[in-house]
Amino acid sequence: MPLQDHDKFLELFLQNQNRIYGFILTVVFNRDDAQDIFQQTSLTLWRRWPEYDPQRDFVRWAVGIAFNHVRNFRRRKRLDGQQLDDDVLELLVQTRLDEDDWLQLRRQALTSCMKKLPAEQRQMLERCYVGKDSIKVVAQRYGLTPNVLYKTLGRIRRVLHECIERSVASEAPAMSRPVGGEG
Amino acid sequence: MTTNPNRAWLVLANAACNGTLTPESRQLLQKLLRENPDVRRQFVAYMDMHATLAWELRADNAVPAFAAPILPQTAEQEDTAALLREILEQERAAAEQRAREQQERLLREAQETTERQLQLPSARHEDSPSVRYIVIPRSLFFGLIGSVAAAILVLLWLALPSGEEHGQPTQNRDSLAATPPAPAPTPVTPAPVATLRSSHEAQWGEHDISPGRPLVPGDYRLERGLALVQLNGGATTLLEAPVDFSLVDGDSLRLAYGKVVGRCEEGERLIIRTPNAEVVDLGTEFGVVVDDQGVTTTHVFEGVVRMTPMANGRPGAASHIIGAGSARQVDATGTHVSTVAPAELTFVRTQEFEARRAADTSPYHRWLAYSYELRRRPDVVAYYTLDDVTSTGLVLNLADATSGRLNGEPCQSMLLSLADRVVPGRFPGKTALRFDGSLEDYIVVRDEEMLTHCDTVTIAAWIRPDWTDRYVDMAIVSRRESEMGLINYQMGLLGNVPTSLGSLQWLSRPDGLVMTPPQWSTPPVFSFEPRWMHIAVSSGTEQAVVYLDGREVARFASHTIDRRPHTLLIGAAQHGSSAQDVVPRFFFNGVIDELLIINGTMSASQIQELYQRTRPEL
Repeated sequence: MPLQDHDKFLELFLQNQNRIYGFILTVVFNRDDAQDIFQQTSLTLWRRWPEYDPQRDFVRWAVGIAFNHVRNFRRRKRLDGQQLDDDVLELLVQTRLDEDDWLQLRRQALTSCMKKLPAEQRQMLERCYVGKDSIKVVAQRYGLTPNVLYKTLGRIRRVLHECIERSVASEAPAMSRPVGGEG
Repeated sequence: MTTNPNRAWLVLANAACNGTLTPESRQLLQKLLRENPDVRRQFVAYMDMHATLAWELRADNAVPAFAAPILPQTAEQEDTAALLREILEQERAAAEQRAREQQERLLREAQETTERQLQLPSARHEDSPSVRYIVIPRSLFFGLIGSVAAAILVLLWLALPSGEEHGQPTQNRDSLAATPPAPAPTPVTPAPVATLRSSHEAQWGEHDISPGRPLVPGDYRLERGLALVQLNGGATTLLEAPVDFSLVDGDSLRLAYGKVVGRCEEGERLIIRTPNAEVVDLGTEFGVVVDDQGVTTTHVFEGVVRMTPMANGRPGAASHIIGAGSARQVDATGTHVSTVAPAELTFVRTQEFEARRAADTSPYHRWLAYSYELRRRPDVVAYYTLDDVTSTGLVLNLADATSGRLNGEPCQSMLLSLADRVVPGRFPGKTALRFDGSLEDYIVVRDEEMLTHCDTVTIAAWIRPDWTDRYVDMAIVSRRESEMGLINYQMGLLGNVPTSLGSLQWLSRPDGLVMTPPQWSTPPVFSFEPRWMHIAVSSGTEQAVVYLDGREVARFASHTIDRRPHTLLIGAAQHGSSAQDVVPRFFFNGVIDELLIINGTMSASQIQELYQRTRPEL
C-alpha cells in the first residue's frame, strides 16, 4: 500500500476516531469494553483500508465495521444483562448516523458548557472520566460513597445535557427537539 | 403502572453511563428506545456527550477539547499545569515523529529487502528465457505486511485512549524503561474510630460485621436491618437500612444516603455531614435523612442542633439552630433551607431498636415493637396505649396519621386525677388506666373530622374488667354525634350476674336520624374471672364481626356508620334524645390497657395477628 494511502487513512482515522468511539460507547455502555472494541475496530479498519471506497463516507464505513465488532462482543457477553437487543442496537446506530451533524454541533457546545460548570463539578467530572483512579477511590477523596458519586455525576451530566440543549437550540432551533429532563 | 419517558430515559441513561443498569432497567430502557423516537434521539445525544467526555478527559489526552484548566486553582498552579501540558504535548509530538520515522524506516527496509530478493533470481539465471515468473516468498510477504501493520499499530497506540482506565494510574510511556518500579507500599491498617455495638437483622454491603467489632474509617453500606454504632468520642448513631455512610473519625460521620439517628450525652460531640449539609449535635438526640434526590432533612427529638447548608464544600446559606420537635430541610443544591413538619416516626429510635431485638424473648418488647408499626399505619385513626398520662395529664393519641390531635382529656366530673388512676398494665413495665364504674369518670376525645370520616371501623381494646361490684352493662368506648346527641357506636360488655357469664356488645346507628340504633350482643363467651381480654369489632358496610382474644365469636348485620361530627368517650357512653339531654352512663369498671381505632375493616387473620403480637404471654 502506498505511503500516501497510509497518510490518508491516518488523517481520516484521527479526524473521526472520537465519533467511532462514541458510537461504540453509545451501545456498549462499559468503557473498558468500548475501549477493547475500539482497538479491535481500529485494527480492522487498517486491515481493510485497501477495500475502502473513497467515494463512501468514512464514518459510515467505520461504524459498519465497529457494528460487527459490537455484535461479536454481544454474542460473547450476552448473559451479563447489560447488552441491548439487536433491533434496539440497529435503531440507535441509525439514529446516530442520521443525527451526525446535530451531534457534532452538540460536541462543540459541550466545550463551552464545560467552562460554565462550577470549578468543583468540573474537577469531579475530570477526576472520574480521566480514569486514573477507580470510582471508589475518587468517591473516597470527596468523602462520598460510590453510589452518591454516581448520582452526583448524573446531576452534572444532566446539567451539561441541558446546557447543550439550550445552546444548540439557540443556534439551530430546527435541529433541537428536546424531550424534557429529569425532575 | 405507566412510566414517564421524560424522566425515565435520563435516569436509565445515567445508569448506562455508570454501568449500573439492571436487567429490568435495561428492558425498560429498550422499551422506551423502541417506542419513542425522541427518547432515542436524546439518549443518543446523551451517550455521545458521555463518550466525548470519556474521550477528551482520558488520562493520556494531553490537550482535551475542554482546554480550560480544571484542577489548578491558583495562578502558580495554572502556570505549572500549562507547562506540564506543553511538555506532554512536546513528548507526544516527539513520540509521533519517532513512530513515523520508524514506520518509514521499516517500509524502506522492507522495500530494499524485496528489491534484493527480486534481483537475485535474474542474476543467477541470466541465460534463462525472457519470460520469467516472479515468486515472492510467503514469509517475506507476511513479514512485509506485518512490519507495516506494526508501524501503524504504534501510531494507533499513541492515538488511542489509555487501556489502563479504572485501575492503576497511567504512567508516562517514555519513562517506563528508565523508572525503576516503586517498592510495594507497606499496608497500614487505620485505627478504629467506632464500634458496632449491636444490630438487628443487619445485612452489610461489602463487609461481614458482627457486634463488638471495631470499625475503621471508610465507606459502609447497611443493606438491611438496623445497626447501633458508637463512635470513639462517645456519641451513638443508629443506622437504618438502606443507608450509605462513611466513618471519618471518632466524632463525625458522613451520611451519603439513608437515615441515621444520632445521640450525644453531655461532653460528647457528633457531626453528621451529608452531601449538602453539616449537622452538629449540641447535646441532644436527632435524626438526619438524605433522600435519593440529595435532599437533607434534620429532625430534632431532644435538645438542639446546628445545621449548616453546604454548597460545593462551603456554607451555602446561614446556619440554623433547630430545637426539639422541629425539622428543617436543605435542598439538593445546599443553598435553600425550609421548615418542614417534624416526623419522629420517620426514624427508628433506640427504644424501638431495643424492642425489635428483644421481640422474640419478651412479650412486652414484642408488643412495643409492634406498637411502633401500628403507630405508623396510615389507617390508624387513634391509638391509645394509656401508659403515659402523668407527664401531660392527657391520654395521648400515638397514631402518626393524626399526630398531635385526638388526645383524650379526663371528663370534668372526674374526681381523681389521671395520675391517680395509673395501675400496672398487662406487661411488667407497662402501665394502664383504672376506671371506677361507680363514679362518673371517663375520657373524652373531642370532635374531630378524622373521627367523622370513619364510616367503617375496626376497634380493638385490651381490658381487664372487674366484676366484683356487679356492674353488668359497661361501655369500653363509644362515639356520640354532637349535634343531636345521638349515640353512634358503642363497644362494651354485658354481664349476667346469676350465671357469672358475660357477652360482648356492639351497637351502631346508621347514617341519618335513626333514633334507636340497632344493638347486638353475643351469646355468653366469657366468665367473670379476672383476666386480660382482647376485644375487637370490625364493622363494615354489611356486617360487623366481633372477636374475643383473636377469635370470631359473633357476626351481625351492619351498615355504613353516621358521618357527622362526633365525640369519642373511653370508659363510658352517653345516650340521649338531644344534645342537651345526653347522660353519661355504662361506666367501665376495670382496667383499660390499650385502645386502637382503625379507619376500615380488618380481616380475621389481621385481628388474629393483632392479638398474637400484643398479648401478654409469649
